[in-house]
Amino acid sequence: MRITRRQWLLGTAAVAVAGAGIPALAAGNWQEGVIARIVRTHVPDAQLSDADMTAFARAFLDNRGISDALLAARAVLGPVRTMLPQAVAGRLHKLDSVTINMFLLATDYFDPARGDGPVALIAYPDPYGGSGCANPLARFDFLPPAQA
Amino acid sequence: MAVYDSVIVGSGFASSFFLQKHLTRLPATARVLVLERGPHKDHAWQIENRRTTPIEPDSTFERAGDRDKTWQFSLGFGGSSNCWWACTPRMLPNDFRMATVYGVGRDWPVGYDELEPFYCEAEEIMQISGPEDAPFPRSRPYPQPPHRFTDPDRRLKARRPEHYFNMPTARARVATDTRAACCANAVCRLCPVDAKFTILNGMKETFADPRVTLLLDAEALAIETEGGVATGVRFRRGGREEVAQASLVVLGANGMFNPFLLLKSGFDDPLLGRRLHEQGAVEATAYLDGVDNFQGSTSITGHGYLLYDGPHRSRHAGCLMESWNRPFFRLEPGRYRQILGLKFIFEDLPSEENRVEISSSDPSRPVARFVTRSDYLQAGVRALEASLPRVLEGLPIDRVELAPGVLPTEAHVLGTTVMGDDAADSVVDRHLVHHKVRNLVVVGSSVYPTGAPANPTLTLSALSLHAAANL
Repeated sequence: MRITRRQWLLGTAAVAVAGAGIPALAAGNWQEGVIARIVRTHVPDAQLSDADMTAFARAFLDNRGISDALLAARAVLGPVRTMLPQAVAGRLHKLDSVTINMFLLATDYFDPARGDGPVALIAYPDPYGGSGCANPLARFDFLPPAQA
Repeated sequence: MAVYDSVIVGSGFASSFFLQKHLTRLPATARVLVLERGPHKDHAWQIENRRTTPIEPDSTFERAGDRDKTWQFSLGFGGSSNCWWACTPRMLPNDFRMATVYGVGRDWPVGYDELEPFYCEAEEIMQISGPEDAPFPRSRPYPQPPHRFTDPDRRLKARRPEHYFNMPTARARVATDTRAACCANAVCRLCPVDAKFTILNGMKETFADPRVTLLLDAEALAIETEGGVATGVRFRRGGREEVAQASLVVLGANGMFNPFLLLKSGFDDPLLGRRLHEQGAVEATAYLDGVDNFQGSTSITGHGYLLYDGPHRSRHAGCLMESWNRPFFRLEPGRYRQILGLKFIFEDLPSEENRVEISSSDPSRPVARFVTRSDYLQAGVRALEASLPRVLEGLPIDRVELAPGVLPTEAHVLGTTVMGDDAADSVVDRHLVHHKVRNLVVVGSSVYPTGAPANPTLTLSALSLHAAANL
């Protein structure tokens, strides 16, 4: 029988959840926990309050529609992803990449005024919501022609 | 049966720019009918529905040949101005003379110098933002100041000032009466703040002219002719077929539907529908060493011309490099912003085997039959990797990753009603008038004899102004 990647991911998730040996996946908001772990892995210097982290994770999951199967696969297989088939590892890497992209844009991580202080959630970057401008890195000052 | 002075099919760039100039030359009593196949969906509707039109483009035509090759456009009032990315380089003078200078492709029947005033006019209408310097001769400054470079752009400019420029763009640098300033969301296909030029936000007055009647949801079915003269357009609206008579017919339905409508109308020009092509692009990611990115004021900030023009074009395709300011981060603590997205847009040489024809299973739809891109383009892509160190000189780089393959579409449809001086090997003349039916004008990128690396919209808009001025 041929097993599709989706079936494989779902099976992995089912085994992980049913195993009950992984407390993270048994917790009520385990999906948010997976997102928080991704953030802490890739942005280790970000001190963020639990409330902000939860708010970011919730907004991220609501906006991106990430499947539970993928999140579970990330929770269980993340530490060993270098040993995984390229297609699976690629999906996990993409999840990490998108998560960090949104996290860095959603917070004041790059704001020079923050200094070494804690990172704060500013707003989830949705260009079609709120003010319509969701790129905190863009700069709009007018430089001399030679440097424009 | 309604009678008009002119009937124009389509309301995208090509039709609207033609209309604007055409109106300046018509008497106050003139009547112009514009037939638009789709509805008018304003910006608020587009944002609410997260799409530019309720018509799914893929439902309107079939594809054959290379299954990976897709085509993209938007149907509805304003056409593809609703979904374009608003990149507006001019073509270079040599782009018009490929056969003469490089011995490939064919020359355009119009040259850069002749088109230059109309480039200026189109740039004024679109309020283009652009730099003081440029890789092409200019008789006027750009209407708006350039968008802000990123730090990597500035380094590339410092290293190769003659080959690197701020991208000219219709994404507003400063707000206009009808457009906000771009704030670099980098979702330009549907701009959240209405900063890019569209027909809806930039040419509404043209359509409000009392001489103009805009009929929405009116699908053109055929050009009516009699004795070698166009007499009007047959169209369907609300389930009913009608004919609008006119002494001038202008076809601006896009590169897919211009040839389709002519074929459906019984036109048999040898190259009609042939030479379907567009640019092909390759993406790359440069991992920078110690230089942060993303300080620009719009989605795409820089244009690199090092690989665009030169003797290599006699052997392989030239390409235009775009540098991207859409934030995407490197997964390395402390180096998140040390990354640069690049896109290399290659010209293709048209081939007669790639074409638009009438579907045999559903004659109400065109088929885009695309066999393959040219060896010329493929050779250009193959040569890219070896050129990257030279292109990116001035930037400290860890490594560059080239994405595999050519992207499926650049959302341009070119070449299917080619213009030329000789009726035996072209469909329309230098003023876009059909060689045989002299009161029929065909506008848009379907008239392109060759597709340069430059995005085609500004040039096709200038061509429309030029055509209307020379009627």
